[in-house]
Amino acid sequence: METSQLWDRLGRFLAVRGVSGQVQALTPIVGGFSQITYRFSVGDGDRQRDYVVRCDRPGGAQLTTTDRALEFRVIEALNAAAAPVPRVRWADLSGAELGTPAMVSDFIEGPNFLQAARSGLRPTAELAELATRAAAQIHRLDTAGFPVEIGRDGGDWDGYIDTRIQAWRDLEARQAERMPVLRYLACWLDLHRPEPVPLCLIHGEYSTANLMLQPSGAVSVIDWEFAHVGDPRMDFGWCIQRGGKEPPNVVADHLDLVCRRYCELTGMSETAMNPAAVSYFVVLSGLRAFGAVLDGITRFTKGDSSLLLSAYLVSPWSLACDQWLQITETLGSAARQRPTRIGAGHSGERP
Amino acid sequence: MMSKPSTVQLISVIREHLSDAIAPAVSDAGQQKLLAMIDHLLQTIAVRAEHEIDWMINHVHDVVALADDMVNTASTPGAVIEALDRYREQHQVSLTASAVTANYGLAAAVLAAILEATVTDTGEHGSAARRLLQRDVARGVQVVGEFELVPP
Repeated sequence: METSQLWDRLGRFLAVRGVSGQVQALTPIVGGFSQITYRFSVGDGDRQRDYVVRCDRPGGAQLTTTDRALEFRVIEALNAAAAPVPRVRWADLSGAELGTPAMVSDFIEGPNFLQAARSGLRPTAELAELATRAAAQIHRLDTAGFPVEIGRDGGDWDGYIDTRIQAWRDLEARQAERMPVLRYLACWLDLHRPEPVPLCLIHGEYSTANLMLQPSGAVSVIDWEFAHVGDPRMDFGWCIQRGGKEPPNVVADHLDLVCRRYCELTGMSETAMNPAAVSYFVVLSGLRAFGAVLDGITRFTKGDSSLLLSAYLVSPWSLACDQWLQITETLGSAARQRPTRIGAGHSGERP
Repeated sequence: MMSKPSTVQLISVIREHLSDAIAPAVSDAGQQKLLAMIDHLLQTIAVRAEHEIDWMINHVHDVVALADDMVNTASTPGAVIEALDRYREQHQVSLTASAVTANYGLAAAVLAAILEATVTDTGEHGSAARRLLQRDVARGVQVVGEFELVPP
């Protein structure tokens, strides 16, 4: 959809909802692989409000498919729980009004953590601390008011891990050719499980690009399409995963600090939350994004897609495989000396 | 046919022209990112053009040799034998890229079966299989070269 079309549609969409004034400065926010986001202003005279509209990509350009309606309900629940999340205002879940399923939220002033780190606006250790605090706040939310589709906290940890590992095997089985690295990683993940912790709400795509730093110093977490009930260490694993492709790797560079602070904030034991355990989740969390990447590459290979992005993403896939294998080597050496779960003992505390 | 200029040279000059003549004329941020992706892909194609046939042939040879050694010296899991049999039945005697790629795919199934069978094994076969996997992945990294993610 052309920006001019969206401009017109947004104006009508907002008018129906009683928002007066012209839509102004509709500008795409570049970045991200799943949805398209635009910033815009609306109002008249001195009464300007800034929003973002988050739209599904057109069908042929989608790398991943997620449910905008579910994301909208998740953010509504997060808003109700006073979580560090932008307030969602309106949604067109069918796409009848805006031309594609979309939602409108408050615009958050300020850079994301990646920009803040790269510009030197804040020391990366400080950003790691803020990221840890925000994660702890999210992970401690009661999921009672959340959509049932994301799951309920306190579920069976081993079952959750089993499902994730099986997803790796299923991913390999549906590719155009056999992939030894996936088959090996699935076996390795099964054999090197860390200490269990209670499942809770997790963001699912926790990264420095999705953490906004407001001028007040407050943190706001955006892009909730992959939220679900899972192991909280997955969020840190994914953050490190993504940080490896988008340096500086804020969490990885301060992982001891992150683990220590997370334990202090949540009461989780150090045997459950430690660099080795988080490293396990760097591997396990890879499926979330790289599953879609690999499926896209296979569609490209089979001639079912000509999405340039899929060809391009072969490179991060290759780098991720290297990163995962290095982790298995490091943790494998340790485990050979101590052939039990990564970490020791048992943790029954809630994050 | 003319083998010179080489594929790598051709790709190099295409990249130069894209970078020096086309990119400065593109003002749209989305199209600039598209060009950056194309440039990166060309960079990887240049590395693959130079190395991938050699890499794949050597990899296939080493995987099959490892599997043969397992069959000859140890109690070999059925999955490894099946994958090796499939390789022997289906592999192609040709150096075209498509044939070498097909053989590489058959060998991948052999290596996957060995890795699964030896994941807890600290012995020679397991170590050798993991070294082959690491080398193969490292070659993928070599293809990538310098890389920083360009979001769409």
